[in-house]
Amino acid sequence: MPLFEVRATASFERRLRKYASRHQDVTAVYEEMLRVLAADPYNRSRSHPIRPLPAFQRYRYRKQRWRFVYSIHDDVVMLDYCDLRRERTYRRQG
Amino acid sequence: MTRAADPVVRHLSSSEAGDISKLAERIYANREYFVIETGLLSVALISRDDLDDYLEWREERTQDPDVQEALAGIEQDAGENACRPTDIRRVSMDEVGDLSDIAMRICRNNECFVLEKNGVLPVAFIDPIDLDNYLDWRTELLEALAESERDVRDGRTRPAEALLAELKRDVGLVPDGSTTRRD
Repeated sequence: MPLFEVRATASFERRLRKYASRHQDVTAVYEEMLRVLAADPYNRSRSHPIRPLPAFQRYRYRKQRWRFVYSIHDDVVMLDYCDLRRERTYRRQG
Repeated sequence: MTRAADPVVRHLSSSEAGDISKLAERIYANREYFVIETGLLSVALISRDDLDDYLEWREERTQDPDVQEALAGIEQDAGENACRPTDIRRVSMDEVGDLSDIAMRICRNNECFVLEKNGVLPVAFIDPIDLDNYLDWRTELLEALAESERDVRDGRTRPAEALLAELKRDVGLVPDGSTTRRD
């Protein structure tokens, strides 16, 4: 029995669908994440790739090259954002 | 409510910077960021909350092969002083007195520093170029979160499991009679 209801916003869905059309691996990561978030979105067990993002008042779940950002409202987990790892090149000073 | 306001970055000379504790108060009160020039190099000052997110960004960017190559070069140059992306060094108020030394270590060794002292709001010293990239990342995320919050307010949400079922059907993991696996 899930402890938390996990919901997705429309903007999250658009992003995820866009990624899923090009990267099929995201579906398996998403499925696994839903199982985790339904049971332990605060990562009280400290066994999941979850950490708080205090400046954003959110949490993030990261698996492989995927990152998901979500918020928690009582017993509802709201999926807000997903992202593929950044490709930005590191620039040195000077 | 998440807002995607443009961050305010103020550039100061070390003489203008003055007391770090005063800057710390402005960082927390106004969400300002400071870049302090110390001769040839400079150092950026951010809040402790931002540091957590900055470390997230730092860790994330190490997945990029170009970044891995750059960091390998830094590690080779810095030797045992090299800093891993999630490492932070703690500094005292005395050490903060000479920001040029901190700026040099940030530039040479990829280090970042946090000042935590009773009576002073905790702040971190990071690479100012990192600050630019981090703020780009942060702004993009804030804009996406603001859009998501509008969805919640307007009732545009649905069970995540329903989306999963559709994704599986779309990629052919669950046959529904009308969809075939795409190769």
